Amino acid sequence: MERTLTDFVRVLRNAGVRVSPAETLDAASALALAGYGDRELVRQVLAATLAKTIDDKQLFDDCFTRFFAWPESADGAPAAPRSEPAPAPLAPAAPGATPLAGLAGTDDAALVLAIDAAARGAGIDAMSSFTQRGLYTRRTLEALGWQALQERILELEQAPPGAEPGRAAGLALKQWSDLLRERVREHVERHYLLFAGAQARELRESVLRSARLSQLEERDLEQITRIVRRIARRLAARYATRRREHRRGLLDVPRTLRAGVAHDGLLFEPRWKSRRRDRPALIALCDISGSVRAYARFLLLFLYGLGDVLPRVRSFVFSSRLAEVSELFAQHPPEVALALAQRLHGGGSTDYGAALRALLEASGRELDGGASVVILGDARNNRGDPALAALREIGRRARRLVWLTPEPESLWGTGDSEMLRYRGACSEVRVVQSIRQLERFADDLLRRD
Amino acid sequence: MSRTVLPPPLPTALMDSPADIRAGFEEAHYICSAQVATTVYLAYQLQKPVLVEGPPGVGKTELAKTLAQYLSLPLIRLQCYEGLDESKALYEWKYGKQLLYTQVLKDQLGDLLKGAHGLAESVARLHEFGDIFYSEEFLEPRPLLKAMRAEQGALLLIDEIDKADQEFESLLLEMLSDYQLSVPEIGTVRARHTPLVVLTSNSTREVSDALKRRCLHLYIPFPDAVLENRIVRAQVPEVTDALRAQLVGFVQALRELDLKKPPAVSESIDWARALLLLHARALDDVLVRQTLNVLLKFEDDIQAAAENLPALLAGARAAAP
Repeated sequence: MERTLTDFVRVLRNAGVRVSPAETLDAASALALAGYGDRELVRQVLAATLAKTIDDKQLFDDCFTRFFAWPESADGAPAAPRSEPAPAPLAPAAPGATPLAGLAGTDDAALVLAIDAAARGAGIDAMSSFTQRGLYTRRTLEALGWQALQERILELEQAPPGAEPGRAAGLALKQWSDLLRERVREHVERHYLLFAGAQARELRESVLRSARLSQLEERDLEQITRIVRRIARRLAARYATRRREHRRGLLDVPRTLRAGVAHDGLLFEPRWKSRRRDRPALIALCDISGSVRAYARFLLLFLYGLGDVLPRVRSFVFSSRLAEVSELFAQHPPEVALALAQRLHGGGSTDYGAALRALLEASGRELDGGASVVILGDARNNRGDPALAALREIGRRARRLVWLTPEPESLWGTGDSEMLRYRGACSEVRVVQSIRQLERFADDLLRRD
Repeated sequence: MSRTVLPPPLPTALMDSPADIRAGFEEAHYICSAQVATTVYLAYQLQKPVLVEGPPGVGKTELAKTLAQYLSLPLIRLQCYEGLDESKALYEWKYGKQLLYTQVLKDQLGDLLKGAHGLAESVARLHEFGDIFYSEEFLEPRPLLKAMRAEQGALLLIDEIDKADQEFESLLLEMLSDYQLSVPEIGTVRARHTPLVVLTSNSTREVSDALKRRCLHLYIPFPDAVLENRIVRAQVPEVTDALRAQLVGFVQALRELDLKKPPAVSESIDWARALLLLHARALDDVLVRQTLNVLLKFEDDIQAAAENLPALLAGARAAAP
């Protein structure tokens, strides 16, 4: 059973639930206490000890259903070897020739265990791709003694009429062997889905993380969104501890007096006026015209995913005109807000000049309050007025002005790109093409605050 | 991982299986799901703290209270809030008493030191008496220390841990894993009996992994219709079966709407009491409109519900047999 538990923990980890060794031990002692008899009880016990967030509970339920599916379906499957008389005569005919011989008459649980052991013997843990399942099915069958079983069937089928055990027994044994092959294949596929499937997924995720965002296909969006959310959550957790930083100020006379009451009026504990440092706002300006739309999507997803540690984000989008979308994000989940922003404010040819001037006007107060500004865009202004003065003004008043561009440095200044001219006004220009680079940017942003 | 084995608090009620607990709680009018009973059973048997999460008003605090009552243990409650610190949660020195005693004992000290030659000898004499002013007599125990020193064991409820600062969680770690606390001036205080610890959280902030690792985790969601029906029956037995089925159906449907704050179990119970006072026999449009503010606490929510009232009522009537 310990082996089963560690296997299950492995499945949970593959699914993204974080289970520590200490928790595995807890689960083991809890199971020892509660027993394994009642499936529902086992589920509750494991849920209490292994899955510790609401998301994890959901994942846990899925994993549990999949992982412990086998014994149930085994009970429900037609128990051919038990009801058919055929396998019984097999034993005397080929004593100990094949491990299967001993199994043919036994109950289902023993068969499941034998398949499991054989599969492990065949090195099933090394399976890494779905196309290998045929190979491992064959290897497992061989380990079970498939060859000997087939020879025995052949022998029985060719037995002279009237011989005992005769053709009928051979036929029954053949049916049983077909069933066995089916079971082994199921076992291998299930093993793949539980264990190797996660490896493949990890590989895919790591590819997606470094892929260029504009190249992503529609079907990857959901997965990327999930990755972004997970990274954002991790970053938020990492920086949450440093949220409250007090700066000690002057003596707070009333509070000191009040604290003194507990000590017979002696002013024993001085209390200080503390000034809570307000985290300055972050202003995000995103170009949502066709060329960089995908990037804007993920930047905003990131910023709003960091909600806990970046409490005040004002976001603006523009293509031909500037619009504030902070309200949209306050009212809807990020995905919906993004789609709405796109529909309401997208379209038209990009005008950086007008957007920068409008931004300066709309956010003057925050800028003086020490806000940081992040601009995302390719700086391709359709040869319009770049309004460099406005950007310089923003750069001067903001605590930091970061420009994120999806274009590599070699393309800056080519065609209608104003990047080389804008660059001087920014504290930093970063090339951001993939989730990984976006993550690094968010990390830096939080670290410096 | 070696853990100190301490005698569990005396079992005054049956804690032999989750089913016993469930039945026992039911007698105390606390209706819970099997998951709740199993987790409580494990917490008791394995002597592990439980972290209870769930939306507000599903009976997280009530669970701790019921458990304390069920086991006849004193309930020691620590309500968390932003800025909660050691001196409020663990212990504090009785400064006033210390000062007073030094004043009163001044003469005694004079007598004691009479005849001592030089500073060194005086200090040596004082040392013979040990750290009088930093001893147990001057220690003011706060909830955590109280729970550790309880003679018969105790149930410690750390309520709304998500409201406390993250640093406070770190403070809890020692206590939760080893049931001991360090008081620098005195040394380590070990629990006389392992206290049962229940932590609750409304998930306004993610509780740290370190804390979660040490706890069993229990998530209490809104109950399904059957369970809620039983809860309301246990709490407000005077309501007729038909009305109860209707009101539970209505509340369940209400939770499906996109509300700012969906009605909790405590609110369904309040509503049942309100309907009882109004001598209602069945839900109707006017009655529901007049009492909707018992269930919903935001004007927007009330409006949203009022708009959907006919459909909700129809659903509720259909739910009732």
